[in-house]
Amino acid sequence: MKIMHDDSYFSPDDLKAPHWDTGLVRRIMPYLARWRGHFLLSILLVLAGTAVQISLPYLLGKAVDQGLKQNNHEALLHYVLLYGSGHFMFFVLSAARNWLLQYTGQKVLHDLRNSLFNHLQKLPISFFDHTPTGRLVTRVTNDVATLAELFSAALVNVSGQILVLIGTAAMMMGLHFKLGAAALITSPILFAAAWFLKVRMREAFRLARAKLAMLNAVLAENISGMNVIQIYNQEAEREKKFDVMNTDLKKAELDSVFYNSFFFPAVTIVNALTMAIIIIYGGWLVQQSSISIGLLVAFIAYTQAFYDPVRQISEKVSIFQSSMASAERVFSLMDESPEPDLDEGKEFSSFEKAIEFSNFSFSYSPDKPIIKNLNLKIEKGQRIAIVGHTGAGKTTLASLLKRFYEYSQGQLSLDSVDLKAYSRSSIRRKIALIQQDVTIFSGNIKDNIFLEEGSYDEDKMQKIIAELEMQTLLDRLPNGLETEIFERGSNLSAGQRQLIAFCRALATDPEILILDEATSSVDSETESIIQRAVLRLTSNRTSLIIAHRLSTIQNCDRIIVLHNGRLVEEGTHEELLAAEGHYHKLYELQFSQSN
Amino acid sequence: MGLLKPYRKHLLFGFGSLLIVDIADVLPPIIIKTAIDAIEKDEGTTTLIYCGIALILTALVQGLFRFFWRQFFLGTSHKSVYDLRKMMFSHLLKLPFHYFSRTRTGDIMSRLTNDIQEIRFMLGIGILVTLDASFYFLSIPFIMVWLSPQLTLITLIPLALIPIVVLSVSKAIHNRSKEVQARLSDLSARSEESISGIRIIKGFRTEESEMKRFNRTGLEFVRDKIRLANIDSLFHPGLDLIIAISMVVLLLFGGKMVIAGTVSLGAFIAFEAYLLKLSWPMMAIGWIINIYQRSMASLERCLQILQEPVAEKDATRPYLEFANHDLEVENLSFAYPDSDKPVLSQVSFSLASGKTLGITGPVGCGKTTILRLLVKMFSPTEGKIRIGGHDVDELNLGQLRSLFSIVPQETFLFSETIRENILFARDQKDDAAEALQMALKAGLEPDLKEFPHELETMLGERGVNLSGGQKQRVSLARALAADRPILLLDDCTSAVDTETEKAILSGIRNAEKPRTCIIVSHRMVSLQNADLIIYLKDGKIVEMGTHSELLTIKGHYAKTWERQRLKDLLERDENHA
Repeated sequence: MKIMHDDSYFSPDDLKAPHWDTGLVRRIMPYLARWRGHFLLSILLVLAGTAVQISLPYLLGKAVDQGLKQNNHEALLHYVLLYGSGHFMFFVLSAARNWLLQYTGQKVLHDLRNSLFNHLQKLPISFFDHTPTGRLVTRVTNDVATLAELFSAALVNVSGQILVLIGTAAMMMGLHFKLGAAALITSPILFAAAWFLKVRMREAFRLARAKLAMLNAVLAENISGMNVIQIYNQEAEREKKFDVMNTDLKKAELDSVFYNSFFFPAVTIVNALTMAIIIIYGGWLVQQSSISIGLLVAFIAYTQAFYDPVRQISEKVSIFQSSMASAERVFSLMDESPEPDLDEGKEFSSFEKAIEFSNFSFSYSPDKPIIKNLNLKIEKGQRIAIVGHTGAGKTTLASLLKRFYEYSQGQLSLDSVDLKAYSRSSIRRKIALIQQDVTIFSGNIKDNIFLEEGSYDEDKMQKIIAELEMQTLLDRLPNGLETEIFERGSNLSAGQRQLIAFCRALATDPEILILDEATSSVDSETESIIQRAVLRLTSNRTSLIIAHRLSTIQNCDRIIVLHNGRLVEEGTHEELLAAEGHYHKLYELQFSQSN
Repeated sequence: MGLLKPYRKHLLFGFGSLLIVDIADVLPPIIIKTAIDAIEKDEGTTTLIYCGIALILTALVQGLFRFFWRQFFLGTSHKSVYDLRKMMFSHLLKLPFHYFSRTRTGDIMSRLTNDIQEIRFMLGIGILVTLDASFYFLSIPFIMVWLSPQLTLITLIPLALIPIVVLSVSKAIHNRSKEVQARLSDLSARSEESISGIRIIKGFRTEESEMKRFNRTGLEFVRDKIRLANIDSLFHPGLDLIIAISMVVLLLFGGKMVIAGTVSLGAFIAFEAYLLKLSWPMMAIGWIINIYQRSMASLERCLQILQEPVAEKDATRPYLEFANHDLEVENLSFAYPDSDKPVLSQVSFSLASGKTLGITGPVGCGKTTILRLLVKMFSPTEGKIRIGGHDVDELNLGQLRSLFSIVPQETFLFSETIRENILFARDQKDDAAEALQMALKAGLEPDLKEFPHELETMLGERGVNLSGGQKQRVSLARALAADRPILLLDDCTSAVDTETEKAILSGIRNAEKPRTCIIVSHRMVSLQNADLIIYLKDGKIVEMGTHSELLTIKGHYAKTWERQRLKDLLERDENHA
């Protein structure tokens, strides 16, 4: 477990209070527009459900007036049946609304997630250099989901609840204006109390959550560092420190409980106040014969139902807020500018003459030049080794040839045409880069060799197997090419992983091969397998090898010695040895080491 | 449930409040009944006003005690969880090293977070709802029977369906949610893979394939989520429907009874209100059973930690006097628990106070294990270790540990300030001058100006990230600051350059108070000045002697030495070219 950035337990974002932002809402709209039919239908369902819902107390009142008061069994049956079927309709409508909302919400979520993911795939490598993977995964999964909740749960439900409130109020006023007004007189208190307390509850809750997250981060850290604590006899000290945070958390939680404890009592009291008004004033009206007893019953039922929407709305407000925060994060990622169109430019299909760097310089950041004034020509069919100390700029050269980074100083041409004139797609397909730490994807061996879906080609596979002499290695795997690879390739040896990387490169029929040799030592058997494979891989192919192995270096047509971004020596193995310069020293050492 | 014991009084108050709240909650329908009956009989408005006042009064009482009730129950749950967390953490601090080596941090964390949360839920809302529901069950049906026995019988029949539906449906919902969770982790695994493998994806121009794959995983998620929605969206409307059936039955039969005059209109309305009130505890039954089962499982998982046997650190053994710290190791053999492959066999050496021992050998030869046995992270399968003539098995573990400073191979620093990290093992953690001195000894001088607030720089979170070498040196400063008689360095300078390392080591050697020092290293130059060097292979000592003695043998040590000398030469050459 890493101690430094433990996003899973604590994210400082928890502490931020988000705000409503119309600009963000406008950006969400296009995703909703695609499903406007579904949204329209769910709004219709909400409307119909609301209508049915607010007619129910009225029907109850009618049953009392027409049935009970008139001693009319038929009218009673009539209204009870209406009432019952009203409930059944409400059941159907709300189930349908719930389903449709979840369905549409998921569809919107899926679209959003895909467009964010697809956007990420188009961002330049430089973006990924400085953004941690974990953060991006959170954006694609959690933030998008929170954002999508805005549509399903919040947007439609809240408007539905507001409708119920308005409908109930209108119904009461319509049935009897004065009694309705009297009943509604307390509602501002209800809204004010709900709003006032909910704001505080949310704050207290957020604080408690942040404290919990911090405590958990500290816990995780202490458990990971337990041996250090125990060896230095620091148990008591750590326990004290932990207790301070634990107590802090307890206080925050108790605060949260405190505000929470006010909410329901407040609602109960306001509700009772309303009920008292209705009974006294309404009862008096009944006695004055201005209203029927059934209407009073309906009013009692309306009052009992008035509180629920208020509670639901105030709960949903927090969803709005967290969706806003997520929307902000998601859309700021969408604003990252992607690489230009990968297919734009000349198609690079076959390599004819040479790659040429002239007066070429490059740096990632202005103050740290990586490559300085490089002049280098690599001709077709050559096998070139690049050697030099770590940080000499070897790997950067490889990335530049793949057009992973933009450059501006000097010339880099391919067959006498500026590399920038070619389409990135064709360059990346035809110049294969084999990296030293092999990325393994989930799936089987085949999937990992033919990365492009559906590009598997049995003949080509057999050719590659023959060329790299890897049949014996395949035979060792339980299901050969179909063997499923575990997470991060843990069921493969280092050598097997390296071979997969070689096969992967050959599967695209590259014109130029760039090989970043692994520096890490492997056992001697693997070493010899890799050595043979590299030799076969690079013979008859233009290849650029960032070399660490003596055997590879000796077999190269030309050796380039880079130092601090400059080309310091260049020539064949013999020439460089005779020059007794930088390379000579390097060779002597390597040689003596292998003996 | 011993957790609740200290809060018995709170709970009792909570229970009292709950009784008052529930009584006050059960009364209003009767008040409304009285009012309606009064209206029906055309009695004066005074009864109505009394009823109104009674309603407000019950609400005030209810409101007041509802406040206490939540405070007592929910507050207590937070306090109990605070206790539980404290208990578990202090127990974890006492557990032996091998517990942590066989248990994943994530697993312990999930018990400390998710399981504790479940237990808190049960202790707070769980108990509260259970008591609340029981009260309703014990009171409302009787009032209903008092109002009308026949109506009670026929209206409660459909209501009894609720717990059955809740239990069966919530099981199905739970199962489908688990599938949704699994799809969700597929989704995040897929996106993590595509993002961390972006160089390969872009390099082979397979972005579109990746998008297609992601889309497929996403669709699987949507499919399962909709499967969940199929039941989920029926759940609450379904419960409402059952209640509605009860209501229809009431209206039909109760209505006939009102017409017949066997039941008053007020009683009929009150009956309706009670029916609604009873629907909530009906739903609660299923919920309570669910939460009870989950919290019991969680409690068991937490108890498992609390029942782990502790290391005997707090044993009451007295602290012994030490004349010197001469180290004697005799026929030490060791195999890790659950494995019969010996890691060390028959290792013996002795080292006088103030001397330096170097240990080297290929990866996996047992170098680190020797250090672990010395500080008793594990106990040897065979053999004896003596320090200053005392058998370590007879020492108090706390005292044994206080003899050693260790700089482990994998540096672990806390997300606190650098000063606090350095003075980790000191009682006084605010002695900035002391921290600085140790930082200098550990070769941190050139790095200090890189830290935004020098030694007061916070590590972790949004603070600076130290390089591997800087972390190692902070860890070393921590060990030096601990100021213990024996210093163990476990290959802890791998990310520090040779020059700096040399300076650090000679600093340690030439201290006014020479410390016994055991250096484990792959880098031979780190060891050349040691008083004794051990070359370990497959858990056995194959060569032992001083640097010059080992060179003359021309064995493993000499070979490795020669190889490394050349490599160093090259590196130096490259650096100076």
